[in-house]
Amino acid sequence: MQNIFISAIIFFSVILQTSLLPNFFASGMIPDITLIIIIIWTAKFDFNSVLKWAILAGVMVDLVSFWPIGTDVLSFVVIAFSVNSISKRFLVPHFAWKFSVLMLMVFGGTLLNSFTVFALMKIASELNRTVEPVVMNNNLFLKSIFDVVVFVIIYWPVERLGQIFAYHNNRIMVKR
Amino acid sequence: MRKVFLEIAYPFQKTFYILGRNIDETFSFFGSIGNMRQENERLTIETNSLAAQVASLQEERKENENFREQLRLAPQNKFDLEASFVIGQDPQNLGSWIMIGKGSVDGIQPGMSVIVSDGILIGRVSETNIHSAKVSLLTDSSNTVNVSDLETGARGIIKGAYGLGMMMDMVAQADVLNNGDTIVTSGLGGDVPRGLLVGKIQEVKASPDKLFQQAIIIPRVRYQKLDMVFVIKK
Repeated sequence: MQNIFISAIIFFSVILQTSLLPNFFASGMIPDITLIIIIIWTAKFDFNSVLKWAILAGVMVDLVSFWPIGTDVLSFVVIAFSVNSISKRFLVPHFAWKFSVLMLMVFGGTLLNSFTVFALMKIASELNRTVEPVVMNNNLFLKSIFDVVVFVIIYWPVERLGQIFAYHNNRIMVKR
Repeated sequence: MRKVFLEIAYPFQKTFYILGRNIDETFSFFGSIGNMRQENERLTIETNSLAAQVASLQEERKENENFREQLRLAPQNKFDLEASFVIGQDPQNLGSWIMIGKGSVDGIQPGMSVIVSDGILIGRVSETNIHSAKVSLLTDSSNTVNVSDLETGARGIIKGAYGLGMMMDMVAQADVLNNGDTIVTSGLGGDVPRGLLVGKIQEVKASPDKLFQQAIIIPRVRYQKLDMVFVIKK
């Protein structure tokens, strides 16, 4: 049940990113809502438990973006790993600081995602001529800002959902 | 795998896109003063329509002057058009493709031209699913279309510039290109019908090797604000 719910959340975040948000944001500045969700969950839990969801989210984004499958998968996994490493090294007790660090992670994660995808697509287009090359987004700074704004808006609902599922998971484990 | 996923996503994409359009229009409406926005939209559509008509009429005039060789130009009202809503856009890159809500079940095939507002070319179908299709916009680097300058008759190839814009290339140095000239499809190659409006010349320059002329083209429509498009069936 938990898996279905989380899969559905990721699925709808991909749909929102592809079909709803383009109505409100200019090309190249559409927030990566799926990436933000993965970052929030990675910071809240740990890399191992979020890994499979990062892979699933990456596959879904690749499918809907018409990119070679694996491009966003690799990017999301690298970002989740980085966020996890940073979260463990910079333990800040106060919520405001923790939230600020997370905002920086979203900003950095957006940049890292764009660079990773650009590099992988560049390699893919060199190896396979049928793969269309991509150009580096020149609105990357604004896109990162928008990602941070969206992060602020969705942080509590997404974190809350994660907590519900974590509680659900623990309850099952106790029963066992 | 991609086709299966897109089939599952299709109804959600369609619903969310239309919902997004409605929300956007509602906010825009309240943000505008009186009916200026609607009037502006109406005038923009009318201008686009008239521009396309002017382009078509000028093309027809040239056709008559060139006797029978122009008879192959299919009148725009004779096109077999399939109307479709836009249901998705490129979320990560610089908007080089859109998704439309018609697919192979509706007779859509890769290579078909996609237009808006009475004959303004926006791109071509590049992939089809059962109920949806991917349309590569003219700004996509993989898209090339044979075009000509309506005023001077100069011929060339229009190419996308990685989602950033369009470039008319391979124009002979002897040909004349002027800023503000209208660019239409030439019909060469047979894959795109002749006389479809593409855009206007913003800037003319020589190619890096100085062998040809190049021109930066401004599209007639904002690709991000597309709502309904028409696929020209072969």
